[in-house]
Amino acid sequence: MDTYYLYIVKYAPDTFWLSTHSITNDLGDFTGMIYFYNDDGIYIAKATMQNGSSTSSERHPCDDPEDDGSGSGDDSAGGGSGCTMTLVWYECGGPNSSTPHPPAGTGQLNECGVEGGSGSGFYWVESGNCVGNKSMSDFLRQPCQGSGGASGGGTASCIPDPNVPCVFPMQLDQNCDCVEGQAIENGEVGVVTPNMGKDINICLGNTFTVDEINTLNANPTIDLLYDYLKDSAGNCIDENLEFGELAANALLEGSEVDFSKQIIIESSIPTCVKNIVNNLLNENAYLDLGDMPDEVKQELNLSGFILDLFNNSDKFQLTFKSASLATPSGDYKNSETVSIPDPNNPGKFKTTITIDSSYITNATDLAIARTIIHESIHAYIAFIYQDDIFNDLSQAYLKLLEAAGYPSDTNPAQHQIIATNFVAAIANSLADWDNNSLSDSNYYDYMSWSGGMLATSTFTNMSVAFQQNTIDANVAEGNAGPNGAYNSVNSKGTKNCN
Amino acid sequence: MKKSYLLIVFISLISCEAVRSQVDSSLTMSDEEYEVINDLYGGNEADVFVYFETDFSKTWSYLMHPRYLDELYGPPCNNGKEILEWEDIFSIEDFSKISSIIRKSYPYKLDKSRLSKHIILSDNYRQRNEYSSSVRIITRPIILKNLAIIKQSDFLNELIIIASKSSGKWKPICTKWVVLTNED
Repeated sequence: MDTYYLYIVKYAPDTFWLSTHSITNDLGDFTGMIYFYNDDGIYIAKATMQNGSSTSSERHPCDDPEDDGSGSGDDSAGGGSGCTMTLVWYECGGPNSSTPHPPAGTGQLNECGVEGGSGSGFYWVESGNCVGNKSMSDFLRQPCQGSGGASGGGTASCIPDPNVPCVFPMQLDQNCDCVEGQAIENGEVGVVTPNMGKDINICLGNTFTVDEINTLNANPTIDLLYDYLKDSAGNCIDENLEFGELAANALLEGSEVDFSKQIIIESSIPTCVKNIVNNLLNENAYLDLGDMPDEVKQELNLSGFILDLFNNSDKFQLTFKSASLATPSGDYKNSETVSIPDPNNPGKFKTTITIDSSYITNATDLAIARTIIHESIHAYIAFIYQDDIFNDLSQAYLKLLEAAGYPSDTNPAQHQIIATNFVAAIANSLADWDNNSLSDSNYYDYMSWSGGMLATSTFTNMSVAFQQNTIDANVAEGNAGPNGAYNSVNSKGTKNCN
Repeated sequence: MKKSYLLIVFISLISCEAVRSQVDSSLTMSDEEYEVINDLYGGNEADVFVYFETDFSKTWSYLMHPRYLDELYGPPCNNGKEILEWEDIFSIEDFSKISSIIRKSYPYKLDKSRLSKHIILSDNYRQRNEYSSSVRIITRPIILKNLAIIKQSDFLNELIIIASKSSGKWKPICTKWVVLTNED
């Protein structure tokens, strides 16, 4: 429901003024044009503003052929045009308000419904110098009624009682009585297209060009970015600006962003893999750590889903992408996880999980899901090692690094950690992801072993039969490279990526 | 005439090579520097492939400041029990000195006879154990007080290690990765 006195105000700031007001919630010194429309979207009036004061104004001509477009009423044949339209800055809780500002930071709302502090307000239309001065609402809704001048004609307007102040949100009605805004049904109002890209750009420090803003506006998920960056009062959320900028750039590049997890899925990831990643991201149960020893679970302080860590971290940002990982010497690998310092954000780290493009073509969904889980654990170990060096996992990892000839390649150490601590979790997570659709649940165990894990002593100490079944399962479900195509007869996973 | 000209060119080439060999052989690293390399890379059962000549790149001299090292991946410096602050490790003057040494770095041939048996010198970057990374290229260790700093790179990673000597052995107290890669 809208109030009876609904109207639309359009602010068209002067370019220079806009450049000096990156956060435009304070319009007290507005310079530019202000346009008023009724709730049907019909133009009523406009005013030229200079540093918060209206320097000239113009009203939509009324039907009266002698109306001169000025003042607040219809001019008669003998009438003048003595009325003026002046815009006065009305600061919520400010000097011309009867209600003082509530203290900032207390969560209390001021009379404009905004939390604490100064700066909020709006321009109030005053018509003056004519007989029958009209209220702002009355003027805006009925600009062609009422007196136009000292000798003007038209229907006389009421005269508000100067001894009875009418303070917002109370409003003068057409009889000049000070009443609460009357609720009416939503009418056909002029549609104002929101420029979310522009608001996002302002939050992010005006880093984008007009073309980029237009591209952002055309993105179907821009509302998610807008909601992520702005609170309900329209203020930019400081703590979200950093990832917001990454996300805006990702959207410009056609990537997908999971704002709840703060994870970017680049456009290079095909839809079939995107679906696998999204399923893994959105289902806490998929990374089931239930089989881990209690002491490990407690030490790791895991609550269910590894990738949530990246959402809670202000240091790490996780991205999924697809690219060819073939080396110049012709080696192939299914995936890799790379952590580097973020060049744009000192002290922050970018972790990128890359799935080899030939692997996506060759492998079943089951294998790809396994690999995403496996790489997530690499990312997790890197995260924990950086974040808490004295954590048990970090210390175990450190010991493995030392045993391998520290400071060694981290691959063998990480794969040994995964083989020792995470293999059951991978199998359970994979089974959950697959809704336990395989009649032979051992197959999830075989698939939980892959790549560098097969070189660990934990694996080579398993039974020969288990080792062979694992190798067979890995071959059947597909691998990167020209000879890595899945085996349609022996594989048990479905194949959706081509 | 042509024969004598060729002879002169041949003798010149031999002489140049002899001079170059003399320069290389005159550049030897100290016992303590070999100690750092042996303790870091050859102190365990696993064999480690190391490129036969030291890395002499200069770019990492610009990372020799706590602010930039803190921006690299890797846990804070620690002695296994507690976090060490930079001022407990190197002063700004120390970093400045290290930076200057890096800018003057030169390739040194590693002497197999002075290395641990677990360090295998290689002139082929691609040589690797199954499932381990490629040959590591290391810089000459820079030793300051009882601390040493060294850079290592291979196909997948690049990292800077700071080690301290305690109980007669060099042990890393800081490892900072410029890039860390884990493969499937």
